[in-house]
Parts: sequence; structure tokens; C-alpha cells
Amino acid sequence: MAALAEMFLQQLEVRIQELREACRRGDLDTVRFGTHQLRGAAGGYGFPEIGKAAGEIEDLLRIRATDTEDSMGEMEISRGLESLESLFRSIAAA
Amino acid sequence: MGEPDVRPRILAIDDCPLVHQLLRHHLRHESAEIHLAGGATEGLAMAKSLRPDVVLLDIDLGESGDLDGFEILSRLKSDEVTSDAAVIFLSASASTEARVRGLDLGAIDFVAKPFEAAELRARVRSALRIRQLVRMLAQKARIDGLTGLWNRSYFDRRLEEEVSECRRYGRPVTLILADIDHFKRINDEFGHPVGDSVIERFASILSTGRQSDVPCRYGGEEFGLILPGVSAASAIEVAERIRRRLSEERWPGRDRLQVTASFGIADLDGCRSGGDAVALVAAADDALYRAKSAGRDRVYAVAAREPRRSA
Repeated sequence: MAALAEMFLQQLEVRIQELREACRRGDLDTVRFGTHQLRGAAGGYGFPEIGKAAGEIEDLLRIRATDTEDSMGEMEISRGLESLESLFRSIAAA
Repeated sequence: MGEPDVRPRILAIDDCPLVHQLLRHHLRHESAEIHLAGGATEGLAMAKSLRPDVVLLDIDLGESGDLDGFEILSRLKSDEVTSDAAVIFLSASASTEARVRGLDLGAIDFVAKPFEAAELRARVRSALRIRQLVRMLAQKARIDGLTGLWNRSYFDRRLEEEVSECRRYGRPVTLILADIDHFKRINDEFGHPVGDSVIERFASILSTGRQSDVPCRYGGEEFGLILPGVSAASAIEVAERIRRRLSEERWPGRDRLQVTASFGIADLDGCRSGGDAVALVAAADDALYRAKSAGRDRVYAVAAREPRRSA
């Protein structure tokens, strides 16, 4: 399981970069799909905090998708991804 | 007869490669094959070709723009080929309402994501057990208890199928009906346990044919052997071999016991009344009757052919 968790963290680093890039491009569908996947999978690798943080971003995007007022700024999503990344860094450092 | 002994198959349908990796890891020690599908279309196609025992289905599927997980579930359940699979659905966000909907659509269990490895494994094992029990029940309902041959109800259904295959592809199908001679006398003279062992012995002789033969216990001492792809002419050889083997059987401790059987054969071309399963049985029965009245221990084939005496 330890090897599996390590592999997951390696993939996670790449994934978070990809999500941040997608966010910069304004490709929020990709961000939503990516965070949805992390929400479901991260806990299974032993990182429930990652799953939770990803789930919060997904929920923001879900609300945004149904809210025609479009009140949720991309800033907020970007901030969410930033905190996901710092969460990852603190785990990877440990 | 019955299903060959193979490892159970698990199919996971989930659009997340991270989950695939995790499932493969968690289930690697289970005595089952794991197959992974990344989307709805692929998942449904794999379910049809693999006929998995258990399906792990991500109900949140559809984020990727494909079919919704509930839609996949109802398609699996409404297709005869896949409807027997035990479906466990997985979700990271399912509400009570969604869980109820999944179970009502025919899933047998639900596992929340992120899943605990031990719980996931236990639920998969439980689903495999249920699947195994259902299969056993279905099998039992088709098998004759004394002989282990297919029973009458399976025979009827299977003969219908073979007859329509025969019509569709123009390949022959032949039916042999066999009846143990003077069976009542054997029972009266030697007792019912001996009668039963005669039936069992005959059943085992009937079962020694090709893999594709369908040996059935048709009634008390009457048996049916469906021979798909075989013409009446070759079926005569088959019946003749069985007849000879039975008459040469030795019955330890019952020196006076001599068991023979009579055989009636008809193929689809041999049925004059339109060629359905009922007519095929009637024609074979007619041939059997003629074998009996001609003195028993012989094989008769019905049709344009000359009735063949072989004893």
C-alpha cells in the first residue's frame, strides 16, 4: 500500500499542475472532472484531506454551473486549487 | 454439463484511472479476474462479452459526458445477457434518494467513495456468494435429481431453441427418445433401489457422447438425447452404440438381471407436420413405439427412410 500511496502522490503532483493550467485557460469542465475524480479516489489512497479539498472545489463548480448569475469567480476556484497544492506539498514533505 | 469451473469475473466501470489503480490493488488477492472499463460505452460492451459475476459501477459516471450511471444500471438489468450480474454501485456523493434509486433499479449493494479496502473486499465477496447461490438455484431447477441429467422442463426449452437454430441456419437436429424395456418388471422383481441404479447407469451411458449432446431425463424411465448438428443417419449409430452398451452391462449380484432399452429417432426433416419441436417429439415417440412393438431392444428411425431394425 505504501508504494501505491507514493505512486498516487507522484501522479497527484502532475494532476494538480494540469488542473491549475486548465483553470488559467478557463476550462472549468476539466477542473470539475479532475476534482471529482480526486474526491472519489484520494481517500482510498489514504489521503482523505486531499479528497475533501478537491470535493469543495467540485461543489463550487457545481453551484457555478447551475447558477446563471455566475457569481462565483474563477479567482475562488483558483484559490481552492492553490490550497489543494499547498496541502499536497505539506503531505509530500512529511 | 453445467458451467465449466472458471474464476469468477469482476468488471469495474469507473471513469477515473485513479480508482482503477486502487481497485486493482485492493482486489488483487481475491480469487477473481478483475476487468476495468473507463466509460459507459466500453463498460456495457465489456459486460456483454465478459458476462461478469459482479459489476462495480460508478454511479457518478456521466461527468465525462457519457451515459449516466443509473442508465447503465438499467441497461445492464434489462439485457438478458447481463441481468444476472450482481451490481455494486459506488459513489462519492450519492444522496439517500440516489442510493434508494440504485437499489430499486436492481443493484444489490452500495459502497461510498472513498472506500475502505477491507469493506470493499467483504462486499465484493458477499456479492460473489449471492451470485453463486443464484447460479446454483438456476442450475438445480434445470437438473434431474436422480441422474444429474437435464430435466424435462430444460429439455422442452432447449429443444425449442435447437429447432429454431436449425431453421435459422439450416443445420440438422436429431432427437433420440429412449425407454428402458420392461422397467416395471425390473422394479417388481429386484426392488426400487435396483430400478434406480438401472436408471442411473443408463443416464451415465447417455452422458458419454459429444460435448454438444443434450442428454435429458424425459420421464420415469424415458430419456431424450438432443443431437444438434447431427443427421438422423449418424444418430442411428449413436443410439445403436448406447443400446449395445446397455445390453452388455453387468449387474454385480444380480446375475439374472438383463437390461435393454428401445430407441426412437426423428430429425427435423423427418417431421411432416411443419417441423416444430412438438412434431419432432411426436415423430421420435412414434418411432419408439414401433421399436417397442417390433420386439424391444432396438433402434427405429422415423421419416422417409426405411425403419431400421438393428437388434
